[in-house]
Amino acid sequence: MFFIDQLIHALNPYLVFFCILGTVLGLLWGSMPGISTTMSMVLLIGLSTQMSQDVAIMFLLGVYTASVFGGSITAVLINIPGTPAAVPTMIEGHPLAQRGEGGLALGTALVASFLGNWVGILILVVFIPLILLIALQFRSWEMFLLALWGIAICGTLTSGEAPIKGWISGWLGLLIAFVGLDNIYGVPRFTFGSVLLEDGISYIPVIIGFFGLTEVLWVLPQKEPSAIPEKVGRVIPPFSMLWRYARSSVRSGIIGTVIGAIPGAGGNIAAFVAYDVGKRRASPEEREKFGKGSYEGIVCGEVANNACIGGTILPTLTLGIPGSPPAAAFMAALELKHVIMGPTINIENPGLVYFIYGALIVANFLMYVFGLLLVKPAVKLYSLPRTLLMPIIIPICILGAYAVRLSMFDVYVMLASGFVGYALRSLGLPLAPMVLAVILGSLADENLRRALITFENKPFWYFLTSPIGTLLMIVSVFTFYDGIFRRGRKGKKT
Amino acid sequence: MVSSNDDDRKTHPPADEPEDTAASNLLSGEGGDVVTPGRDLAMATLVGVVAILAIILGLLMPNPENNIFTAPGFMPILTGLSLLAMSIGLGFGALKRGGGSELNLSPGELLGRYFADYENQWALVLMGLVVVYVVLLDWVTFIVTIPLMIGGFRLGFSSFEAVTIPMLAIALRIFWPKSFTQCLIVSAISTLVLAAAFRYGFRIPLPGSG
Repeated sequence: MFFIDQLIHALNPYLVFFCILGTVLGLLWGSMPGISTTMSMVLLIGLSTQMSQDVAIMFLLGVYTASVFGGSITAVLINIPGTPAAVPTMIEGHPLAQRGEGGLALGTALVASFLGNWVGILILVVFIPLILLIALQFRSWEMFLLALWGIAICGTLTSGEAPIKGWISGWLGLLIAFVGLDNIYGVPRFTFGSVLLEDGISYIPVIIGFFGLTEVLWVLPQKEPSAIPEKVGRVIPPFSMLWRYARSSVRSGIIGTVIGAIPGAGGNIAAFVAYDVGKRRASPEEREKFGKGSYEGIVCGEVANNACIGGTILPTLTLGIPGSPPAAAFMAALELKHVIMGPTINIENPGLVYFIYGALIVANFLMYVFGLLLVKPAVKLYSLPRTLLMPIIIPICILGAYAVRLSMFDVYVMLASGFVGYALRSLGLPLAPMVLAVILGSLADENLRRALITFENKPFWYFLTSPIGTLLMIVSVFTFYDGIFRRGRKGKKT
Repeated sequence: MVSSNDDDRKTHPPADEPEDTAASNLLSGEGGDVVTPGRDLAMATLVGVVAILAIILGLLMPNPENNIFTAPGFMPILTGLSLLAMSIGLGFGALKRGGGSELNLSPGELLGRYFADYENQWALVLMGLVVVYVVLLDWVTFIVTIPLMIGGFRLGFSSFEAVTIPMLAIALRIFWPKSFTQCLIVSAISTLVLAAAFRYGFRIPLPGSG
């Protein structure tokens, strides 16, 4: 009943209007090459600061849901993925567009995105109560280990064959998170006598700098051509075709949701894994088509990267650990509304989780409807050159960073983060682990020190008495072992 | 550190690059960059220095209860130590792959190589432009209210628009191959739309002026 009430609340025309606004912006921004889902989200946090909590949720979930699909529009039509998660769609969709089936490829991507969102939402609805129940058992030691594992696994997953680079990125992020007064004694750390730094570094300008300004600095100086197809063709795919790929959809949906629930992993990895599994599992005739224009390939990639949304929201809501950078942006926006994500979310904000389910459902329907309506106008819009669009993002980054606390200091933090992000990206370091660490750093620090106080004067094996803690320790050790030995060897072979 | 033929930093694959490679690049590096052992070695050195600094600063932090486990510097020291270990691991790996020979150049030669790259040059120009833009936004502060009410809002023109319009026009002129007048028009329209959205739509004050 509670869920139905919240779903009806999410259908309030005023809220739906903002969800439409978010959906349209998400579709348009996501479809622009170089503007990732994360970038769309972080740039719009600034706008959400003056919205009420419910409006901000509807707006940002509209952006999130739609921008993931938006990335496939340019991927199919001009062979440039709007978001990295749309690369499998690009590989399969663009050859289809060249054969005059671009509309159908886009339609398939849209329906697959719609189905993917449903899989993610259903798994979210089923598993949230269970995870919340487990999450309530988490004490300081478990929270520390969870944060540590989250940063480590994010580092492993985002840095290919060199997990050490992902971990370095995460550990540098931890150092940034320690800037400011320490949570227990109020002792200044890494402030160098600056009063401004005593407040700590807000992670919102850091996210905007890393994913907004860095992207502009990276993409704008590149020389690239772009070609615009004249015809889009039929958009809605026949039902028989969708039925043929039903099994792939369910499988990719589950893969996407599970990967989404792993901290920091996100849609890029989900799309690639589901695409790869889909290729291995396809019939021999279909497998032949992979790489040359396979609708099943599009279905695998799109279902997974959209199912990932539900997956990423799962740890974000229940543990306060974002499943991906866009989920981190969503979490940041909610924190500005004084919503603290974590095991007690249902106690401190009764009904909020159900409202988020409802908002996701509404956003999914709107994404489908506006996706169909906006495919053709979007083609016109993204035919604009990147050299025109990217400079305009610079003032948006500044406004986004400034709007959070109306502070020029945050603008300077954003600026520095953008430059650091550019340097780190030039050196091949992934940025996602660093962002995750900036978010989780103070949580890890405070909980480790609290845990160590409780371990004082106890036998040294006391820390092994918690089953969840022991499990998290095993998982963390395995993550480091896997990164150092297994992936390291694989990297050397290649 | 950066070789002159590193101009393949694309977020999409060039036509002649196998798509699988482009895909794995995107997955691995959030954009796909070719990282040489020399760069890895340089990064390891830099990270090592940061780690040592973190350890030293952590040790210098006051410890109110004289208990190592609750000391404010405990986590920074722990993080610094593990970061140092990682940087050593990365550095050794890079040396084994011949990273040392890549750095066997004078600083002048390294800088020369870096600045010879088209994209690096323009990235630096862009960074300079953004710094100037932000500093101007911080320093120049005014708002002129126009005695005209539209939809209940008193219209205004502030330092944000005054600084953003010319700065954005310059950025557009550098990267968008159109005349300065066209750049100025696009810049003015987009700035005014942005300012209106924030100031009137979302009632968020703009930097420097409100």
